[in-house]
Amino acid sequence: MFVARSIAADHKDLIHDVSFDFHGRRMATCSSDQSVKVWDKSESGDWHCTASWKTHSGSVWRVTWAHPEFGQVLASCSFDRTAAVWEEIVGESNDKLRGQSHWVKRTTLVDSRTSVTDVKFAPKHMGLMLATCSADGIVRIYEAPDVMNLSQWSLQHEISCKLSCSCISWNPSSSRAHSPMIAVGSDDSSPNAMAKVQIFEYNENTRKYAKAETLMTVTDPVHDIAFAPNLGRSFHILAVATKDVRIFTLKPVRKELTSSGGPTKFEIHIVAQFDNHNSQVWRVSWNITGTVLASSGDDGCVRLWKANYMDNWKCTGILKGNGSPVSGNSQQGNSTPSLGSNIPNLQNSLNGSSSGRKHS
Amino acid sequence: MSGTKPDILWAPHQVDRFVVCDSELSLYHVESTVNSELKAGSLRLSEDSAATLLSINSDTPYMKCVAWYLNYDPECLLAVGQANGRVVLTSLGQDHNSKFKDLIGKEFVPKHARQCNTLAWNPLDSNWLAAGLDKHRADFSVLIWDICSKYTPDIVPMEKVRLSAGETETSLLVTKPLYELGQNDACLSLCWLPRDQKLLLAGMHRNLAIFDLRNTSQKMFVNTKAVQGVTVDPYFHDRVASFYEGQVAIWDLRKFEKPVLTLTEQPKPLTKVAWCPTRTGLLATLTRDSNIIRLYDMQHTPTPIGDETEPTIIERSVQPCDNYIASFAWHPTSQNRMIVVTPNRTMSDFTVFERISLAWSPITSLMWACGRHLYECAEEENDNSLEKDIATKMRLRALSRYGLDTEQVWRNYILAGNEDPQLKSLWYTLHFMKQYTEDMDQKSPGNKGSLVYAGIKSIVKSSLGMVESSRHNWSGLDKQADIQNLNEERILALQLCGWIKKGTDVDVGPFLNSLVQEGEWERAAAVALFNLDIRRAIQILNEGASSEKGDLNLNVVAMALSGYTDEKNSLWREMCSTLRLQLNNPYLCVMFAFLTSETGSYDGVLYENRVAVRDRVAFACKFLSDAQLNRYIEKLTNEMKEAGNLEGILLTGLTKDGVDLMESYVDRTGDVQTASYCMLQGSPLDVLKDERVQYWIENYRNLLDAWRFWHKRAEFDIHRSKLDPSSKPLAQVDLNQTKKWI
Repeated sequence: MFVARSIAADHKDLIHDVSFDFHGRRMATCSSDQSVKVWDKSESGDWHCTASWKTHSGSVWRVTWAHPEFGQVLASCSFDRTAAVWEEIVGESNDKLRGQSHWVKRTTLVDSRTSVTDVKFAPKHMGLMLATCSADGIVRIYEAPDVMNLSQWSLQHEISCKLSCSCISWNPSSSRAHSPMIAVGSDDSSPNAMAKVQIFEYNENTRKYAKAETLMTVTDPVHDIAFAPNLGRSFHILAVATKDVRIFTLKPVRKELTSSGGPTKFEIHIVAQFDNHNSQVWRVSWNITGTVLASSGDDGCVRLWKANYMDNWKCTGILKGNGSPVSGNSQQGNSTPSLGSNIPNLQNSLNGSSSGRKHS
Repeated sequence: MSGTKPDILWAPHQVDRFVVCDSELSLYHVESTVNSELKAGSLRLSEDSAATLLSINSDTPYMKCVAWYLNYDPECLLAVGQANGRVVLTSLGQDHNSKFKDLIGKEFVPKHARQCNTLAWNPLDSNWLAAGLDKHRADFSVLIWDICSKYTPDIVPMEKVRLSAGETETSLLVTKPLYELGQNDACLSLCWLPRDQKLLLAGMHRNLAIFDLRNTSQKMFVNTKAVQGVTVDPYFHDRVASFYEGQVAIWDLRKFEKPVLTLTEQPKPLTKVAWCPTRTGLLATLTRDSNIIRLYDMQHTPTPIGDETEPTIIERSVQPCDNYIASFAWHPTSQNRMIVVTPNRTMSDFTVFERISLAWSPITSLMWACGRHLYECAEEENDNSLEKDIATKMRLRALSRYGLDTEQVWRNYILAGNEDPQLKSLWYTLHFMKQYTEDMDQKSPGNKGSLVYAGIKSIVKSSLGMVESSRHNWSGLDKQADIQNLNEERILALQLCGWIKKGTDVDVGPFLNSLVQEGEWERAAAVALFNLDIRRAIQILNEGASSEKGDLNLNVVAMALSGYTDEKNSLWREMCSTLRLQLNNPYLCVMFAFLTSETGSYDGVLYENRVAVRDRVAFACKFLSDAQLNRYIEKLTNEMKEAGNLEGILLTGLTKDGVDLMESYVDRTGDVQTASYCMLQGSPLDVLKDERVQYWIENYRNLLDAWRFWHKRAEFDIHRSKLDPSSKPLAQVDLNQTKKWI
C-alpha cells in the first residue's frame, strides 16, 4: 500500500526534476525559477529544505547527485547552455544553526551551444565522471581526474548523435563483463522515421565510445530513458518514455562468440509496451532493484509497473499527479490508489488492457 | 458565436461562475461533487464538478463578442458587442446595485453601423472599453469608450438620437467615444498592453498595430496576415500571440519586425488562442471542427538579447470530450484548469496536467513533482508480504538477519518470512548438505564432503552402473514391486531429499511423522506409498480426514486406495487412471499415477511439476535404474537451471551448475541477497571466485550501503570472510565513505 502526501515545495515555477542521493536521505529539486533546492529528511521522515539557491540563468532541467564517496556533490543543467557542479561546504556555523547548508559552484561546463537537457554522473566504479547531452545532439563526457579537486573537469569524449538529445542514462552495471555504456534519447519531433534511442559503449582498445545499438522500433520523440539498476542480472533492462512506456532487455551475446575488440552485440527484446497514459509519457524511474518501474504521462497519472515471475509486466498501481486517488470510472478500469496492491493487477488482467506484449 | 457556436467565459473574480453565450447569455455556478451527490438539475462537468444554471439573459440579440468587466464590483457586468457595432452593457441575475444601476443597459453607438468584432476592457482603467469594428469607408474602426461618460446633448443632437434609436431611455445612449483610432481600416482583434494604460495592440486588416493613446496620430505597426486573436502573455508582457488560418505567430514587442516564432501549422483554421493565466509559457489553441486542444509549452524565459537558439517548445494535445469543441476558457486562478463548450452546449471542466517528474528513493518511496508541488508516496509497513517487491523483502530480511544462521541453516527460511516455497526448499537443502558434510568429514575427513555440496546430480553420477534392482514386498500386501537396491550414493541422495535421516537406517518413518505433524497428509501418504506401505498411507489419509484442518474427502481417497489391485484390466485401474487427472492435489494425483503405472514407467510421477522436486528425485532414486536416473536428473537439472528454480539446488549443489541456476534465479527475481548467502554457505573456492558470484556479493553489499545498514554489512563481511578468506571485508569502503565527511 502506498499513501501519497504533499510537500510544500515553494518553487516559484514548474519543477522539472527530482533526484535522490544514494541513501535516499537527501533530495534535490530544480525548477524553471532557475533555482535548485536541497532537502534533508528528518528522523521523523519529514523533508526540510536546507538549501535553495539560484543556479542558472534559465530553466534548470535536471539535477543529479554524485555517489557520496565523492562527497556531497550535485550537478545541474539548464536552458542557459551550461551544466554546473556544486559542492556542499560543511562547517559554516551560522548556516548550520539555522539548519541551512551551503553549496558552492565548483565548475561550469560551457561547451554546449544549446540548451543542456540532461546531466548524469557515471556509475561510481568509473570514477568521478559526468555526462551531459544537449539540444544540438552532442553527448559530452567529462572527468574529474582528481576527486579532491572538483573545479578541474576535462572533456573526455564528444559523441555526436545527429539528433537533438533529450535524455541520457548510464548503464549502472559494475560487472567487469560489461563495458561502460550510455543510452541517449532524442525528442526530435520532425516527421522523420529515425530511431530515437542510441546506445554507446566504451571500447577499451580505441578508448572511444562507439555506437553499440540503435533501438530501431522507437521512432517517436523520447522524453526519458532509464537503465534499471543491474543488481547482478546477466542482462540489462532499459525503460523508454515515448508515446508509450516501453521496456527493453539487452542481453550481451557472449564475448567468445563475437569477434573480440568490436562492440558488444546484444540480443534486444521488447518485454513490455503500455499505452495506458493515453498519450506522451514524460518520465520513467526504476526502484533500487530494477523490479518496479514508475512512469508519468499526459493523463496526469503516475503508474507503477512490475513483472510477475513469468516476466509479464503489469500495472500494479496508479495515482493522480496531485496525489488523489483515481476514481473508478475514469481510468481504464484501475480503481484503487493503492500502489503495490494486487487489486489493480486483477482488474488489468480482466480487461486485458495493460498486460505486456511480448515479441522480439 | 454568430448564433450557432457558443463561447464561454470564466468570471474574472467570482471564480466559481462562468457564462456561456450564443443567442443569449447563461450564467452557471460550478460546484465540487467530491463529497456530495449530483444535485437535481445540475450538469456534470467532470468526475468531481457540476454546474447549476443561475440565470439567463436574452436582452441582447445579435451578439458578436462578449467581455467581462474586470473590476471586482459589480460582479456580473458584461459588455456585448453586436452585429450593428453597438456595445451594450448588461448584467446577469444580480441584485441591481444602485451604484451601478446606471450602467446596465447603457449602449455605445458608433457613427456607422457595422459588425463589432472584438471588445477589450482596459486592465488599468476599468472604465475603458475598446471595441474593434469592421471597416466602413474612411471611418475609424477602433473606438475606446468610457463607460461612465454621460450623454452629452451638445455633441449629439437629441432629436437625432431619438430618430435613430427610438429608445425610451435616451440617457443610456453614448455616441462620443473617448478615442477613435484605425481610420480607413478594419479591426479584427484587440488587447491592451499591461505595461501602460494607454497602449493598445490591435490586429488590423493587414497589420498588427500598437496605438499609443498619448499620441494618437502615431502608431507602431508591422505588416502581417496573423492579425486574429492578439493576446498578451500574462507572464511576459512583451510576448504576444496572434494567428491566421492554421498558423500561430509569437511576437516579441521589443523586436516587433517579425514573429520570433511560428508554431507548426494546423490543417484547419484556428478559432481561439489563449495563454494560460496560472502558469508561464503555456498557450492553448483550438481549430475548427476539432475535439482537441493543442498546447504549446514554451519552457524558458525569453531573453531580450538576440538569441539565435530556438526556444524549447513541447507540443501536447488534450482531448477533453468526444465532441467537437466550440470554445474554451482557462480558469483565472485554478492551476491549468479549463472549461470547454461544444456546439450543443455540453460543457466539460478539466485540468491540463503538468509533466510529472519522478524518482524512487532506495527505501521504496516514490517522490514526484507536478507543477510547483511535490508529492511523496511511501509504502505502508503492515502490508501483506506476498505482494511486496523484492527490494522491500530484501530490506526486511536483512533486518531479520536472514542468511546469517549458519547452525540451523533451515531456519533462514523462517527468517526470510516463512512464505516462499522455493526458499524453503533451498534452505532445507543447504541444511541437509551441511549436516552430511560435517557427518562425512567426521567419518572420513576430506572424502565425500565436497561431493555433498556438489548436489545429487554429481552424487548419482559417481555411482553409475553399480546398482541392481530387486523385487520388494509391499508391506501388509501380498504384492511385489521393483525397487532399486540402495547403495551409499542413493542413500545419500535420499538423505539430501529429506526422506531419511542420517545414519544407515533407511526408515522414512520419522519423515512421515513430521509431515503428518505439519498437516501435509497428502504428501505423507504419497511418500508412504512410494515406500510400499499402503496401509500407512491409508492410515495417514484417515488421520487427515479426521483432523481439524483436514479434508473429509481424504477418507474417500483412502477408500479408493484400499481397493488397489494389481490386475491389468480391472475396473479399479480403469477408473483410477481417468479420474486421477481430476484430483486437484498433486500428491493424490501421483499416488494413483504410481499405482496404475506399468512397471518401470513412472512418467506420471516424475513429470508432475506440482510435486516438490525433492520428492520426485527421491522417488526416482528408489525406482529408476542408474541409466534412467541419470537421464532424469540431467533433464530435471536443465529444467531447473532454465527456470531459475531454487528447488534445483538440490540437484546442482553449489557448483558451477548451481551458479548457472542461481544466475537465472537472479535474472528472474533480482534476489542477490539469497544468491549471495546461498553461495557463501559452502561453495568451493573456485565457485566463489566465479565473477557472477562476486558480482552478486558486490551488489548486495551495495544495497546494504544504500540502506545505511552499516552493521548488517559488517556482519555480512565477517560471514563472508569465514568462508572466503580471499575477501577483504573490512575498512575499504568505510574510509572512502567518510573521506569528505570528516
